[in-house]
Amino acid sequence: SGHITGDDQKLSLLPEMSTPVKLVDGENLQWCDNAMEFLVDQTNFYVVGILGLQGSGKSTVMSLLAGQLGEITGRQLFKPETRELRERGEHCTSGIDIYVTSERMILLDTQPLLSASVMDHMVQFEKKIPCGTDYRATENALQIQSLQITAFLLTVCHTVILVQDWFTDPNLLRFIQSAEMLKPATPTNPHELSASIEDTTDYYPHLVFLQNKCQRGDFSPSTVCDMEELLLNVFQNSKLKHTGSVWMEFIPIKDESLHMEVANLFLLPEREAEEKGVLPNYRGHPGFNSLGRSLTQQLMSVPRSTLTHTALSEKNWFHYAARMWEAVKKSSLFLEYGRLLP
Amino acid sequence: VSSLSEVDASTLPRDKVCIVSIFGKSSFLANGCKAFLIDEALGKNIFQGMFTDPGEINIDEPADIQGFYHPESRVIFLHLIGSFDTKCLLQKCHSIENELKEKTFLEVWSDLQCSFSKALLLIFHLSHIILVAHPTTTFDVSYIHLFQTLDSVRQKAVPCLTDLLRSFPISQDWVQAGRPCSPRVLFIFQTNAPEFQSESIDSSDGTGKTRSKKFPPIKRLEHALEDQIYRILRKSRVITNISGNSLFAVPANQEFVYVTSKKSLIVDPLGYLMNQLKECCSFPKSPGEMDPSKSKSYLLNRRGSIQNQTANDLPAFALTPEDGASEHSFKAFLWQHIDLALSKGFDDNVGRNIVRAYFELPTAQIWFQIANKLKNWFFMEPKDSRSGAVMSLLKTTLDIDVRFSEGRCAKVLPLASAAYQDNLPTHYTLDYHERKLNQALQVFAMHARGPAFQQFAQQLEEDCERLWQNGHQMCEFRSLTGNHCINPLHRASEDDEDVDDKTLPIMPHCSQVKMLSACDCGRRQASREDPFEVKAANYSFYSSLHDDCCGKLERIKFPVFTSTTGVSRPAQISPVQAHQQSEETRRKRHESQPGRGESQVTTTSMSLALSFGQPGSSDMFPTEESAVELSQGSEESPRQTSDQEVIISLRESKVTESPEKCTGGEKLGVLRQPSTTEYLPGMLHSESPLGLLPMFPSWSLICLGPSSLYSHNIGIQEQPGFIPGTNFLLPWDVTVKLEHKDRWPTVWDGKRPHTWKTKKGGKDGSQFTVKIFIGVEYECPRGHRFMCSAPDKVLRATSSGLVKDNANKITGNDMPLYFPCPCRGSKHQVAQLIRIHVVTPKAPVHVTLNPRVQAAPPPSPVFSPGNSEPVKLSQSAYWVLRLPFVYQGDQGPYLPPKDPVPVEVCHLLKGTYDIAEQISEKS
Repeated sequence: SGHITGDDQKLSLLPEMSTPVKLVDGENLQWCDNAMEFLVDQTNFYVVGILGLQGSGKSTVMSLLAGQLGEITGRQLFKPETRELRERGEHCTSGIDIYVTSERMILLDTQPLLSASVMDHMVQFEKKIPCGTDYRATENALQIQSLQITAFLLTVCHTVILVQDWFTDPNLLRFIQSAEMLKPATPTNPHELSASIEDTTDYYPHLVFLQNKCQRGDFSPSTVCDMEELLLNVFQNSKLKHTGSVWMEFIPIKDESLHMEVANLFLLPEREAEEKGVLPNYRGHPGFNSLGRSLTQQLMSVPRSTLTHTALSEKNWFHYAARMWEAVKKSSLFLEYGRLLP
Repeated sequence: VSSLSEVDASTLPRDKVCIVSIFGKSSFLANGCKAFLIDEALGKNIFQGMFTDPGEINIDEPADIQGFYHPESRVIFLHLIGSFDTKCLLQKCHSIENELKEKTFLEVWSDLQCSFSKALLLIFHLSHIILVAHPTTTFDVSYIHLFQTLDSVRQKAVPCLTDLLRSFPISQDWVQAGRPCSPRVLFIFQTNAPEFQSESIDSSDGTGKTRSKKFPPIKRLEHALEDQIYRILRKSRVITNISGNSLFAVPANQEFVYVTSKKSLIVDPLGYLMNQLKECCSFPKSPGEMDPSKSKSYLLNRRGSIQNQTANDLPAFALTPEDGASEHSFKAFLWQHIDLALSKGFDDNVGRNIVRAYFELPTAQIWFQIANKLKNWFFMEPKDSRSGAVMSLLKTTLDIDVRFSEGRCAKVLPLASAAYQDNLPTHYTLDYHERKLNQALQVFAMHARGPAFQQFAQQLEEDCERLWQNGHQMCEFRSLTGNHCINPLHRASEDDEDVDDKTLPIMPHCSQVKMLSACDCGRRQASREDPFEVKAANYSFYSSLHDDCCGKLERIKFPVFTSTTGVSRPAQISPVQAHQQSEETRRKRHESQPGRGESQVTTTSMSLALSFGQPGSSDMFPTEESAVELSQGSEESPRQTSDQEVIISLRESKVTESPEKCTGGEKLGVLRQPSTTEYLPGMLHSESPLGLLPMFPSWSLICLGPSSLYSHNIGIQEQPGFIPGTNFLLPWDVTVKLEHKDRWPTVWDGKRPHTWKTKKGGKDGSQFTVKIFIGVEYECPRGHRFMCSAPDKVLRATSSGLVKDNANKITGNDMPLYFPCPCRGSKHQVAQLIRIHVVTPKAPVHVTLNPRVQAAPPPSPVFSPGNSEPVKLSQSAYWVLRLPFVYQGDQGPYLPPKDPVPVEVCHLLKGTYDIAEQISEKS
């Protein structure tokens, strides 16, 4: 117990992060070292990343996980799209933002995948394409950039949340598996040449399918079952850990022992406004706050496997992540893939 | 699509029609329905059916296109339902569940997308206006690649389509382009965001400051999206200045983006009905409290449903008709394009182009015929190579993931192959091959990616296997000591049955393992090759040393095959046969036991009775039991005395006629009449078929010379390789009680040598003690030799060279066949019981040997030299019995243990040593 108090003291001395900082900047997709000062040399941390299309609610979900949706202050931790941006059809988060909670949860919020708005920015401002001149066409550069962000998250996170605001874009599901294929191999220790293939297995994170802004109809058990079935079918041969760690607690599952074979699907409703009128609406779910808590708790208790063959401290993780980001950007796999695009 | 041909085109009016198609992605709850806006515009439930349930989606067809001809407005509406619709994808996945178990989704998706793209191509060749439905408010950029692919395939398909269209009464432009026009594509988005909900209310932000903007938010979003989409499509060259050269065009001066904000599509009937119920039960609000937007939509809802119930028999819960007064109406948005198409046609060229875009409206009749023809071309198996090339272009362009994976794997395969071939010896074992293959697979796994992984990994495995088998395979034939042959794969002889390939060279097996072994008598050591044949192991090596050493010594020969005809062949012993034989033999042996006992008695004229310190004996050899019975039956046999002597009583048998020797011999001959034409291929053992003898003896029994060769003070001499302090024999004192005094030759009276003394009790000389020296010798492959003093103990002389043990433990117990060698080496060796040294006393008795070896756990056979009775050794002599070097049963050799640990089940069975009375030649 003395050890724990020691740790507590150490943690309490840490500078609190007031706002997320940049991990990868949106302009040139360069690595930023700003977050380093908020990380310490302890190994009990948990990295959660989020992926999704434009406007699906990535920043909101990340703020929810950090417990800072800004109900009182009116300021959400990760900035969501403003009304003005929405009217212009533009995205908000660019690059990758990082925030470390007091529970040592490292949250990575990303720019939207395959976003028309991101591409439009590239087109409009004749921006130098971040991936260099390797990709002739802007649309190819956009796709490769999105794949790189995804592959990076699949390499450095314990859990990756794929958030969608409708069910479901098959292209996005395919896209995740393309990124799985392109993600860099987990570096092996050159000193221990293992005898069997099993020892050199690559790292694969947990993948959680989060359906955001769900309607009442989405919460009916038969709909959830159908969604589960589709996801299980689509990810059947994927090595991403897509089952058994997160589920809809209040939706009855036919057989309790089947928990392990259930896709990590979670449904979040729209944040409800104040209920008006005498009769309450029938919502079909326990409400946003309750589901939000359930999601946070479940995500926190997802088993954390080590990202590399050796255990990392927070600081080690940061260096490892920086190395992986460079590896992803320079990987010949993406070049090869890019050449096949039309 | 399939029902297209069923439309009777001749009954259709001859009006020119405009074709409007809709495709796009739809959410699970939308049930595949994207066309609700069209239903709404027409005020009819056409595509969505009851509560958006489109009914059964035909998943067997590559794509499902629903059509509706609205003659009043001269428009044919087409609604494409495919894998982009979640409901349809779910059903597809369900139907190809098994395929999904084997293939990755990347492969399956490329197939699904391919058939979907064919349907899209068909639509792009048949439509004037195409609506792309989005379930959100963001433009889906994945369409860019799809459009680019469709365009490249379209251009390639034009010649084929021109051929197909030639016979129709349409313009040359259409025939040459393969389509009536470059279609206009309009984009439809959906939003639930509250700020876009009520377009009639002037937007105001939180501060209350009214924005002085010209347009409501939804219009601003539409315009922003229009600009965004236009820039992106231009940049990616999906649209160009000349519309005829592109897959489609967007109008330059008309709106082409529509965002619908109303939740007009009731995706959740239960929720809708519950809300209706709730509103019915609510107290009517006073007009002042009314939320204007809410009440309006409620009223609209009600009015809409009443209207539609009158207009259409179907209950139209899903319909909220457009408010005609509203500026933001889908009907207005769509019909401006339809009206233009029906009047002037589209010309979406931009810039200074003189060329006018081609545009044509067909009659419904012609259109149906063309649609049918094109549908067949797109969905039937391509008949000619030209259309085949078009379809394969479509497939490859879409198949990015699989192509990447194949390219990647193909690139890594040589790397992995090189890892296998790196430092490869000329030939090597299966084990080595597997280790190298594993290494290669590891290299492959490190760099290979994607769905083609398995296929290429298998190819790697096959390549490596082929390389190995193509002249790099090691023979690996196991020697009789368990080492494998290290020669390249070869034949051992012309008629080697183990090898199928008759082109392989013939050479002897060789493991290159060298061993050091002593000769029959043990006085000379020589190195030997690891044997692959029993003859080499147990006979040839030893006889090769005869010239240098023990060839001239007296030797008792064990029975071997002798050919009388000069023709000899090995007997065929199949395993089954052998088993039957063994059964038979066992039965026979049981039957013949009394007879055998009798024969034993009659030959020696005396029966033996053994009495040990621990009565009871191994039950492995049935004949032993009879011996024990005999011994226990003799009341007179005294128990072991305090000085640990073993007393053996020699008792005259009941049958006294001495000439019966020959009778016994005949009897034996009946039992085991040796064949003179067939010999036993392996070694002689308890399961060997009767009447067969081996070609060579695996055992040897040799007389080294007089007993004086051994001195108990010095130990064994002139026997190289002995570990110091272990080179002693052990004394075995046996009290012999002569029961048939009369027959005892008197010549021995008063002339007793020191080796046998009269017991106090036997004044008449009928009882005396003899001292026999016995050594059980083990030898390891390095030539180290030692004696054991007990089944679990190496004999050790004291520092002063004294041996305190006696031989009781080695004569009274099974002795292990294998024993860890006490020699110190890097690897501990397994020593094997190889020689038995016996120094016989000068007494009127014969020491007899009857060695039997259990070389593996039962039911494996017991090996013996083939003597029909215990072999009698001459008196006052040093005898050496050399045991087989290897034990081979009918199913192969019984190998020594790999690790130097005592093996419980492999034994030289007790009962090897005995005493028999000397029979005077005169009698």
